[in-house]
Amino acid sequence: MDILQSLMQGFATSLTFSNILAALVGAGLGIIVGAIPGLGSVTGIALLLPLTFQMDPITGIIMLGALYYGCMYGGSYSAILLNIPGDAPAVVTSLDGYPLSQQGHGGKALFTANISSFIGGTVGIIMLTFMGPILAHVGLMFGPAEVAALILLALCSIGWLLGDNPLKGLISTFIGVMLATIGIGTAFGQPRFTFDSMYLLNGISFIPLVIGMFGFSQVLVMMVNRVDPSAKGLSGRLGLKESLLDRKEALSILPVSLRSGVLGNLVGILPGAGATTGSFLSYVLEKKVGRNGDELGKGRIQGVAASEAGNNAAAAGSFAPLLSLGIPGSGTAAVLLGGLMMWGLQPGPLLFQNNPDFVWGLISSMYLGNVMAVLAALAIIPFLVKLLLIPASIMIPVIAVVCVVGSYSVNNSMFDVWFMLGAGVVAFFMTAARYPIAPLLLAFVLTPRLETSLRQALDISRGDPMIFLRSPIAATLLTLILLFVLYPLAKRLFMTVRRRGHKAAAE
Amino acid sequence: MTKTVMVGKTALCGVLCLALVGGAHAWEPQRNVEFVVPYSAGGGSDINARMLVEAIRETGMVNRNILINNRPGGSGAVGNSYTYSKRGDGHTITTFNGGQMMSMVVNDASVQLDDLTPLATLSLDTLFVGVRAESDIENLDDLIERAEQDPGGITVGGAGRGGEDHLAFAMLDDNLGVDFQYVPFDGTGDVTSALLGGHIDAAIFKLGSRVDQSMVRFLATYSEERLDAPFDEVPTFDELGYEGLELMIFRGYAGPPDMPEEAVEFWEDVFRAAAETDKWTQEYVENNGLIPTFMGAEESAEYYQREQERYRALFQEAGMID
Repeated sequence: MDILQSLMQGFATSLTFSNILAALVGAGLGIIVGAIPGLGSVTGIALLLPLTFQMDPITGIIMLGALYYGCMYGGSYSAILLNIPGDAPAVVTSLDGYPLSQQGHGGKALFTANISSFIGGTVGIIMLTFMGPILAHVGLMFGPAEVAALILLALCSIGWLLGDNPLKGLISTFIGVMLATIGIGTAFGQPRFTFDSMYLLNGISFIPLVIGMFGFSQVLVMMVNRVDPSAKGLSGRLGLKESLLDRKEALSILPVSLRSGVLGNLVGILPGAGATTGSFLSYVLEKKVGRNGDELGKGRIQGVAASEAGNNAAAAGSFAPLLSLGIPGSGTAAVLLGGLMMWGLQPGPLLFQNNPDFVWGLISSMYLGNVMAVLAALAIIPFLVKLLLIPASIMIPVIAVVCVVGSYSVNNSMFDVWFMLGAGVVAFFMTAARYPIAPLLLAFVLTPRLETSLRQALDISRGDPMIFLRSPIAATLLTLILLFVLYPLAKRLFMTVRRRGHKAAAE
Repeated sequence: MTKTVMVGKTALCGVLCLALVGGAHAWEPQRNVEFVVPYSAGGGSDINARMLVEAIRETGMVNRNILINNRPGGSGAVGNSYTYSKRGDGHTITTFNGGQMMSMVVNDASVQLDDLTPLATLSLDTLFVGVRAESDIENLDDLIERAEQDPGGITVGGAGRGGEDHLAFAMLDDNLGVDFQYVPFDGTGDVTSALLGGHIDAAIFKLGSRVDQSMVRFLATYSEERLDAPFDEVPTFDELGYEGLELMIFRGYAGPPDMPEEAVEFWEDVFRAAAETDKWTQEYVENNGLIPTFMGAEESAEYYQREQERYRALFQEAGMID
């Protein structure tokens, strides 16, 4: 009950008029920053941080926390409506979100994204509240070997996303793996495939790649197909009423969001695993255990729910190591850590003892930020869905401009803009030849983490691969991978044997 | 008629005012100043630059806006090239720190120290070698003993390859007479996780990363002298009898090549005044656990030159460059 009491005290600190106002402003800004492709929570928090130094630390952190949450909500909007994921986790959201909006259910997809973000985020915060320090210590058990095995599991499960043609999916995955090897790897410190260009020295930036492959290739598709979204007869179905979920739909996403929330939160706590792995593994879990798992990827609200709940819960999870150990679990948490030091707070195990007001104020502000973000988001859905009614002749140039500005703004570099345009053209032809794009991007995000962890594990063991089998966690994960890879083969073998058996019996 | 007179008077006033303010210096910014940060928003250099802009504003010495321009990429090479392209301009300044110069050396970048104009150095960072607080390695001798029993088997983590932490490791490996194994991580956070989880035996930490001493036991510091509290208990390598293990990471500022001499003087004065504001000393230097210092343009240039040669020699010994 100690925790509940502290939490109540936290609410007493955080629930003042100015703090609620700060949360609302933060959430609103976050939704805007998150919805703009190219701007993410890291940039948003970095830009707002200096302004908050004038404020009371608690008000400041509440505003930043709400901005972080708002970003998570906003990131899914462009993924669903325009097929331009604002950040890496939103790639998974677009898998079902964009088909839904093409089918005229954009409103429902947005609504699902918000509600499941809320549920997933809340699950994550509740776990953080009651088990934060314990979870942070569990996270420490994941060293390089364990993280490598986990990422390998995620990479192998891309196989479930491959769509109609597994071979094309695999080819797409490997293109992603190869693109990820460009630049100086942490593992060896040597530049690879950079062709002596300083722009490639730190590797390809994810945002220009994703904007090009999804957004700009979309522009090309729209120009070639001359599809006019407004002519699809959707206009009658895009009000607020049509965006709300009915009872059955609402009930169907609840278990999905809860499951994904728990899983996403656990992944978020692990060092270096990140929100993308969280939302992706949640999606895979749903595909495996969900009732309509096989239909995921064709435009199912359950897919949107799994991804969004997973990434919001992972975001909450990344705060556990920050607050209880002073170790940032994500890029955003790292910027926040900088903020804590500016306020003169020393993050670490003693933060709970020395500054209980601040810690519990922060945790309670997450509940507050989450509520504010869902309210602000729900208020703008009816306006957002109207975007789908804009005629293609206006929409195409607007998306093209967003693509150019978005890719320029990441590094203030024209190189990224050219790269984005090139990636868009490549993706356009890949799509035309029915090569799926999502596996490429997910492989691109996951590969560097796999390489780094693998190399670290082998550095530690002095090249002995047995390190993966000696660790019980890594061994379990590797066994899972083996089972997943062998299962379809075994199933096919079993079916053939049985069919032969039937034939033999019939004869 | 009266209107014209009024305008004339106002204009005259303005000119006089400008002349008064500008009197102290032969050079003044005539337009907005661009402050290049060759790393992304939210990183260490970015926060450093943004705080400095606040401190400069407090001095009131720059009557134009100073705009931060993040130009990340190429481990600083993209931003450095951008600054280089502003040859002769007094309105462009950039953050310049030890890590940035190391990547110039390691990556053999096209823009080197000689291609920039050092302006000032305002703070120093240093490093530690540490183990888990619960570890039975109590001091540096214990660590060396372990390494003697298991040559190359003792793992030391650090952030990145070819950066400050790696250089500090190379010094350790060279000067203690035993072999260790370096394990590079993506950031200090990941290093700390791996150390606390028992996946590595020891780790390199920067003073500025403010790692909590309740979690990590620091065995020695790379600083030249003992640090202030709360690190006053940590011995220097020199005290422990190991020479040549001193490493201070400077955090300074530079301008483009051929920056006018008057502009260099102007910025030197601005940085000196900013370094004395409470904003800078308390909110930045103290809160980030850095060591305050001030070196002017000339002194900085000499210091950077010396450090560059030292970095090159150390990386050569470590086999990172030819």
